Amino acid sequence: MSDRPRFFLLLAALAVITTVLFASSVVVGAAGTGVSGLLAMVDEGDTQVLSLIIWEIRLPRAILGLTIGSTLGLAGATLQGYLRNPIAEPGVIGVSTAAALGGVIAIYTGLSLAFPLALPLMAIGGALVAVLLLQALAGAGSVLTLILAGVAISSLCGALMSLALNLSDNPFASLEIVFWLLGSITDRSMTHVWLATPFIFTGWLLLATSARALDALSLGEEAALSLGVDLKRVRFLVVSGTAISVGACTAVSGVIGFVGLVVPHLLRPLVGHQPSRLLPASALAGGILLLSADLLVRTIDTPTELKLGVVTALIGGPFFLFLILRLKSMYGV
Amino acid sequence: MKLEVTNVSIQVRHHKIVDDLSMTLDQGELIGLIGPNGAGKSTLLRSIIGAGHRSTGRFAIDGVPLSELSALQRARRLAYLPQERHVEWQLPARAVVMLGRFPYRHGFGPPAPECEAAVDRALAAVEATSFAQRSVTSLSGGERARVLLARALAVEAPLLMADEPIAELDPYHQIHVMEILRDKANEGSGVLAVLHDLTLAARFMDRLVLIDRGQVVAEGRPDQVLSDANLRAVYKISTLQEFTSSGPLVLPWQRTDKEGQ
Repeated sequence: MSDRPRFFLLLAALAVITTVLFASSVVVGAAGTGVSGLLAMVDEGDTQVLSLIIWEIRLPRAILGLTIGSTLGLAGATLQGYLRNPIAEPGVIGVSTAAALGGVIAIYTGLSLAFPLALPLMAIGGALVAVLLLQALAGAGSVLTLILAGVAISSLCGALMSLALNLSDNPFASLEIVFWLLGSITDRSMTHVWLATPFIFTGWLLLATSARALDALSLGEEAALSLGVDLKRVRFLVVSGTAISVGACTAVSGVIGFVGLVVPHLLRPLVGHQPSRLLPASALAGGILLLSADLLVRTIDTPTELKLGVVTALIGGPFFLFLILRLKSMYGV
Repeated sequence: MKLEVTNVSIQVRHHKIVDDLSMTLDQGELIGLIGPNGAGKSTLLRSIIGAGHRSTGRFAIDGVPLSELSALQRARRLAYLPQERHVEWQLPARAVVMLGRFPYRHGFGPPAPECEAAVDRALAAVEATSFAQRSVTSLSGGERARVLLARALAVEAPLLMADEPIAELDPYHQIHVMEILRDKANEGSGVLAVLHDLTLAARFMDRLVLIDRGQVVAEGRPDQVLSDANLRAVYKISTLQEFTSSGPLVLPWQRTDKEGQ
């Protein structure tokens, strides 16, 4: 089709922006900002400090910003396509909250103090339990059953997190829980990257495999079935892919909302509204959004550094309102 | 190619929706599946494509049970147009029709020339070529119905089933859609359509299958099936009937359980 070149041009443009932002993310920071700052450090013979800053602080942060943003964009686009619902995002199937609960338990029990990796591992465990629950509750049911099961899991996990905060007799643990829940990629190491990326890439693979079926699903489940789509397989791919990748993201960054909702929305008109094309475009744009938000957090001078999850929610909330107003004017609802 | 439905029963929560039903769909014929609301027409069609509730009995194409065909093999033999006319995204009409080639496409490469050709033929058959680039959500009800029918035609399967293809359409589009189905059958496909319009069923169909409470009540030529006695028994209506040179004219007239009131 004639719009194919335009689609690839869009992907190329998004890839260029992503690369530039990724590079800036490595270069920009509190110590020695900009290329000139870094070169100055080289001049002063601080190469050891420099490599420490780059490898241990900035690179993990940039990699996590990119992969987490991409995951949220990709999972959001896939879920919107699968659920045929423009307001779907990874949160709707309860996976982020379940992963968050795993992390909260690790902090609450003090396990994360004794063994730092306990936090991300418990969070990934939480996400996997949520997938099993989802498959058991809504494995063969309708899309509505899936959403209801997601809401149920989400509220149960939310309640348990509140319980943990309520019962916590250690104010430091409470503070740590609250800060972790706000969502951030500050002070993460390469260990976090190695821990999360295998899960994230596995999730991407599962989600990408569902892409063609999502196109057929725009006609509804019955038509898709008649065209040879295996609905059970698609559900497995979408639910497990989202849970594994988003669970792993939540495990290292805490809860970062709205990226999965906002990004597919902005991109949809640019890819001709085709669900399968929305996937790679949203993955790139999700990375762009999170890398920019993280750069903003680093460069804005606030008494304490803003949390990434707070910034995305500040951008996402008003965007959601704008969306409602636009839908209202379009359909008069 | 021939679709055979043999002794099929479908139960939904202890309630038999389809009860020991048998029928066939052969290439080159246009069949109307008629019957009152809740007779089991849509349930039967959904069951044939493998959706909905568990069924007993046998569905087969050319003697091969559908359960032994892969989903893609079945999709290439039997196209289905569901009642649902909602398309979620603002896809261009042509992209919607291209989805009919789903059973033949693999990976993410550009569509093969024969897929493009099939889409062109389908769009031409429903006279939708002029608005093929427009978003499907911006089309009128009649235009959208034609585009979705073109999607089912683009499969170019030897058998086609359409669930209420003319519901909610104006008379012009009703006749247009019936003509398209007629042409499809004349070209050698087997076409089955669920209909509520008895007048158009009488005018266009080769054969009618009248079902009530999940069972076949009558089957045969329209003038045989649409007899006054059958329609009173199944639909509880009386009709005005006349035999014209171009076939029987049937006009639903009155509810029989309210006659004389």
